[in-house]
Amino acid sequence: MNKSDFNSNIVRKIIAIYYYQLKMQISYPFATLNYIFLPFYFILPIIIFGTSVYDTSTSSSINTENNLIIYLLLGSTIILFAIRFLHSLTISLRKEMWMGTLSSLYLTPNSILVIIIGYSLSSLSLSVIGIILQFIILSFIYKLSFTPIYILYFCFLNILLSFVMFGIGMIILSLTLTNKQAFYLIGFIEIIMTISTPFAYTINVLPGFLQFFVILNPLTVIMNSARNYFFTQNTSTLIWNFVYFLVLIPVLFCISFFIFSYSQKQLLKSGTVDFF
Amino acid sequence: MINKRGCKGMWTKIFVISEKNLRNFIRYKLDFIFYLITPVLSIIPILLEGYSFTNGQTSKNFIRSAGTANYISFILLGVLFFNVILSSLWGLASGLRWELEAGTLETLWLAPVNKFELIVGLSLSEILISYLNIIFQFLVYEPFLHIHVTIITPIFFIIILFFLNAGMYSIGLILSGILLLMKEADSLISLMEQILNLFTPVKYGLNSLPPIVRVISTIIPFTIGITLIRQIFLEQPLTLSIQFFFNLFFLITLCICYLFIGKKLFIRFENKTKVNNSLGGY
Repeated sequence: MNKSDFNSNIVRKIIAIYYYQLKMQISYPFATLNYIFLPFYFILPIIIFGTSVYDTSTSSSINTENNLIIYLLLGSTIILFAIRFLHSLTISLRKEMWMGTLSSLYLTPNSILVIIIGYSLSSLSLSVIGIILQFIILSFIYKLSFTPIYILYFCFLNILLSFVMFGIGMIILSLTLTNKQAFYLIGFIEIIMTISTPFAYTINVLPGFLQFFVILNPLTVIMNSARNYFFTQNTSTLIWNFVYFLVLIPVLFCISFFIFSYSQKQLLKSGTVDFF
Repeated sequence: MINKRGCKGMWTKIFVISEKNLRNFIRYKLDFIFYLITPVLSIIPILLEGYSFTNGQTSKNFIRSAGTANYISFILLGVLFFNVILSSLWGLASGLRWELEAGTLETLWLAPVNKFELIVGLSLSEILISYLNIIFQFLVYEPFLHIHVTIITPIFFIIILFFLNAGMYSIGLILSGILLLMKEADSLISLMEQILNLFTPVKYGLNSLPPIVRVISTIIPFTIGITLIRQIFLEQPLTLSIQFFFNLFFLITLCICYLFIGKKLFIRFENKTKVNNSLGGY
């Protein structure tokens, strides 16, 4: 088998697992509805609260209510995509643990990574449909308009984000496999992400030392790029962002794959694949 | 009829079931710690959002929609009591969910235990854990909560909390019935939680919602309950107007209706599940 055959084989396997999982998920109507409508439930309370508390006389950072909605919509969409990506990836094998079928998965002639990607893509795709839908509907409700170039740029930023989240997700997944405790750990990490990213607030409300950490957060970098480009059409930060991710993504991938392979060895050595 | 011995036996069974669940929960220590910390932290982004858009000052918009300038206490009370009612909602459905996922619900259902004892036992542990969490949240946020307590506040608070919980427990009963029938516990509970979070005045005033949503919101016991709770804790001086007593009466009537509907629907769903022979299915 040559290299291209091997690669196409992997892609075919991922697609097969993806379809199998997607079919299973769609067979549960409430779960499908939940995945699709989750973005509305997440973003709408943030926008409603933001508009109810917003006062032009006191809020100096954002000058119109329309800009406030765009600010919140862009921020919430990015953070939600990051959360859903992380959730899909980290919970993928934990579900198999709950059902007691993880060891069978390990025995199949597939790489565990292929299975993880196939599984997480299925739940992620439903979430992405929801995110796109809410973006369209909220833009329609609040009469917001985005240029095609901006939409392409926004998609590109989300692709960058998915690479970062893949790296972080693999580290958390390794923890959940070895420690068997995931449910609230994932929730905790998601909350830390939402606090350390200015998706619904402006960075200047934080104390100086916290601002430094928040600015370095990859989610903040992506969020700021999306907002800056929309509000000011400023592209001066693009090169800095590109360099930042060019360094961050390979480093994150190396660390996460090292931790993942180590945890796999530990898991198989300890013989606790089937433990719950 | 339950005699004294029977009553003691009933509570023993309830406590045995609760103890089993509590042991399971505490077994995952890391999860337990995060379970306590996560809800406390989850309020921070919304508080920062409020601070960002008011610059730490009073927002006239917020006074118009919520009736108070103190958005921190408004949100904290809303979130704390939302977690209280979620414990009633989750307690029932979540207890059943774990048994369903573990594949042990059918066995439990066949055990020589009254269904009422089983359900109360399963939900009691969840409610206890939730209340522990809420107390922890209250202790953390107490310095930021500027509430006014008078002699009559505790009396009204207990009455409101009792009926609020009863109403939400009834909704939990309906959810449990649907859960038995449709087997989609996680999604169903999550969907319900998110709808309640959006449609009820947890973080914003009722006036911020569109008129049609406001109408739907008023038939949810939490909306009336949290409005009354905010009134007795935030209003200074507390004025017990006719509107206040009307809302209290409405809450009690609503809860009685929900209890009646909840019980009827649960029995209906349970019977349907038995007819379909899908009690153990997942």
